[in-house]
Amino acid sequence: MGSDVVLVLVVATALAFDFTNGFHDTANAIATSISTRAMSPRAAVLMSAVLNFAGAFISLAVAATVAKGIVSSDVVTPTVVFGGLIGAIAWNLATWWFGLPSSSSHALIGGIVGSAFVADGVSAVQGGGIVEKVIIPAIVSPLLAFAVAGVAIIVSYRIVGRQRPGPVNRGYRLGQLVSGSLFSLAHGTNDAQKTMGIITLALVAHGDIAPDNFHVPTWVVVSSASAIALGTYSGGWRIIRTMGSRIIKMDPAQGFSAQGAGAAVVLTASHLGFPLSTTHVISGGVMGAGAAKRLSAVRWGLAGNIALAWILTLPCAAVIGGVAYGLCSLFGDDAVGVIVVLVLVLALLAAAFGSRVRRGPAITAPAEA
Amino acid sequence: MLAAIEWGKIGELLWVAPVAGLAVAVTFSLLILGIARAGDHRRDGSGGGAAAFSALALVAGIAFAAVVIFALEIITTK
Repeated sequence: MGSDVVLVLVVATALAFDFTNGFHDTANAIATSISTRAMSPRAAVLMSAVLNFAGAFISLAVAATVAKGIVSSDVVTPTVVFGGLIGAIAWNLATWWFGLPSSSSHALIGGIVGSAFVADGVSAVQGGGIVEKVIIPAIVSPLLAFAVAGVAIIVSYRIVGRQRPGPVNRGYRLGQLVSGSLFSLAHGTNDAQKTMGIITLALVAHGDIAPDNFHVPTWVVVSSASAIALGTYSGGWRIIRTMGSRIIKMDPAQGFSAQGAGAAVVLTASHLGFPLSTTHVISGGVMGAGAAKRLSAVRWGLAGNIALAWILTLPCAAVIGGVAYGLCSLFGDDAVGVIVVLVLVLALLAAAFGSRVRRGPAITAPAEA
Repeated sequence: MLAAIEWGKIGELLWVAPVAGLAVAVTFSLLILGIARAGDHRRDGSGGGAAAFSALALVAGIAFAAVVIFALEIITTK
């Protein structure tokens, strides 16, 4: 009975993480489109939500690889997964609150690592996997996108520089519909599957699915796709504003170059089987498209804050995940610990965001159109 | 620890991604250039120029569409 309750709570928490993943990463696909007025904010989030939903059904290859090579599979229990999810959700909400784009995937990995570390010690953590799947991609992806977007905008200005701005801007805005759609679809195929993988891991640990018959049940696919689409539609406007207009003031050509370069980097990496964070890629692309026009066009102080958030993602999510698991284990193997931590988290959220709402302004505000 | 890292994939990413990114930028910019200049030539009554830039726009458009279709294939077959 107790383990059934834990499973239900883990599934609910995983879907809550999926929702935060959606609204945290909305900016990756559409911030530049909104900023350059290629799309209205509502149309952009609707398009992105629909494509994220559709993307979740396209492939299930990523779902089987969640946490693989990061922590030892034999230490993964529903409570370890729960602790990891709490770490990831907390870090996603914190970075959203400050309007900082950071990787939801790295937050999830960090949370699981911290939770597994507290559960079974340092032997549970596979350092090689963290270097390969987190640290190297986090260094390579923003720098590569920065360089590609920088060269792309220089070449684009060379080709269309002497034309009248009206048709050129209209053209690049249309192009952004295509690049934004590709980004949203790619995001759906990647990130919704991470939640599917997490829920399926919990089902395996609970004994509902045999380990040698790993498959994602249909209800898990549908609920994960719905959660990420709803999160995307709710729109993380704080991050959209940061990505779309606070790093640089971009014109449609820069918006297209950043998105086009970002899509090229993400999809090339996907084709090669090399995992990259879409957040890191598009942030690097936006900075590159701005810096190539004029170095001082980029707000480097803000860029530094974003980089700091990236560096802190894994350790902070790990600490929170570890603390969450530790609190759960204080109450033994039963469901009591998970329920206590969940109530504590909900109370903290209500205190943090409830007082903000009561003060008047909405938690989120639409980005400037 | 470093031996486990797939350096070959990283090396391939470092040259394929810039080529793909440039292909996107160049093909779409040439499409815009072709359409804009073809319109200018039509307004000036220059049929030859309009035809040449329309052809450029067509080729660039096909190339850009090919890049997008390849991207969709990557997304749907991974």
